[in-house]
Amino acid sequence: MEDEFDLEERQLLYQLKTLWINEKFSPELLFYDQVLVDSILEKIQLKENICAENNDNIEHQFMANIYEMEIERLKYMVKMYLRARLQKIEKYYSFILQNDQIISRLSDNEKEYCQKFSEMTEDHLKQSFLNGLPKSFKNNDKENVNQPNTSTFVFCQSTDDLGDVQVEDDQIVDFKKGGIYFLRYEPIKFLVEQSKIKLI
Amino acid sequence: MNEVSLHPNQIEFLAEDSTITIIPNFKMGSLLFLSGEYGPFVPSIPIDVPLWLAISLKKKKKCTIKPPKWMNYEYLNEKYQEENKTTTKFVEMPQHFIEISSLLLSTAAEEIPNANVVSGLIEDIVKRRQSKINHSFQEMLTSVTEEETIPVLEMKDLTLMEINRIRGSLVTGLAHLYKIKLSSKADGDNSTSNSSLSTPSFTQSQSQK
Repeated sequence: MEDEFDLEERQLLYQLKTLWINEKFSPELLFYDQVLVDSILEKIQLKENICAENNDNIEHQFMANIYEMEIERLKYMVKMYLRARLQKIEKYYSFILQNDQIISRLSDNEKEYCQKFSEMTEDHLKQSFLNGLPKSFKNNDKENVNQPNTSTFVFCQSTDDLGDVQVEDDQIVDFKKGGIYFLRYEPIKFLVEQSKIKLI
Repeated sequence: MNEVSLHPNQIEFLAEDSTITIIPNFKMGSLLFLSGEYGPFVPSIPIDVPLWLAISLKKKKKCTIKPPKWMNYEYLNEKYQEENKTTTKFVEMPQHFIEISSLLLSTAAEEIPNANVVSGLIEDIVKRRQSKINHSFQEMLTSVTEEETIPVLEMKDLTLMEINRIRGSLVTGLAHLYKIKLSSKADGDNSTSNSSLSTPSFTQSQSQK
C-alpha cells in the first residue's frame, strides 16, 4: 500500500516536469492539464498548512523550512508552466480566438486573459495608427495573424518502445524507449499528446 | 528570457531532483515529498535524499555528502579513454553528470577524493564531447544540404545540458533549411507532376547519426 502511494507521488513530480518541458518546447499551445495542476496546488496548500502550524517548536521549524524549500520548487515549476502558456497566448491570441478547437485547450482563466489581451491589443493598434490609415487598410486582417510554426524541429525522447512510426513521406523511425531524436514536431504531435513521447 | 532553450540554471534545477546519499549529523523524522518519503534521519546513518536538500543541509553544516559512485578518478578516467577511442559515438554517461558534478564540486569539494583531478577529468570529458558534437553536426549539415529531405537524427547518449547548448542554432537553422527545401520541392513538383509524392520510397528509412 505504502509502495503504491510512493510510486504515484513520484510520478506526480515527473508529470509536472514533463508538463512544463513539453509546453516549453512545443511550438503550439498544448491541452491545459487542469487535473494535474489542481492536484499539485492542493499538495502545496496541504504542505503550507503543515508549515504554518506549531510555530514555536524548534524541531518542527527546521522541518517546516525544508518543506518550504520543496514548496518553492513546486511553485516554480507551476509558474514556469503557466508562463510558457501565457507567452504563446500573447503571441498567437488572434489565431487562438479564431479556432474553437484551440480555445478548448485553454483553462477558463486563460480564456479570459486571451480575450482581454486581444481586445486591448486591437484597441491599442486602432488608437495608435489603424484609425489614421485609409479605409481599405483599416481592418486588421484576420488572415495574416501570427500562427505557431508546427513544422519546426524539436528534440524528443520516447518514453516507450513505439516501433516504426512514419514521420515523413519517405522516413520511418523505430522509436526506442529512452531514445533521443531530433525531428519535426508535426509528425510526432499526436505522440506527444498521448504522452508516448516527451519533448526535451 | 530566451524562448527556445532552457537556461542552464533551469537544467541544474531539474538535476537537483536526483537522489544522493548523505550522512546527517542530526535527528529528525521522515520527510514526505512529492518525489517520495525520505528519512527518518539518524546521526551518522547514510540516507538518500534529493540533491537540492543535500546541498542545502550541507550549506548549513548539517550533513556530509557521499559523492555518487561515478565521481571518482578510476571511473571517469575510463570513460575519458573510451570517449577518446571513437570519433562518432558518445559514451554513455550518468544522467545529469555535468550539473551534479558542478554542484557538488562547488559545495562539497572537500568530500570528493582528488577533487581537483576529478574536476579536471570532467572538464576534459565535456570538452571532448563538445568537439565531437560540433564536428558531427558540421558533417550532418553538409550532407543534409545535398539530400532531398532532412533525415531524423538519433542522438544516443547525449545529455540534456549538451542538447540545450546546440538547440538554438540547430532548431532555427534546420527550420529555415526545411522551408527552403519545401519551396524548392514544390517548384520541382510543378514541372515533373506529382508522381514522386504518390510513390514514397522506403529505402532510406532508418534514421542515422
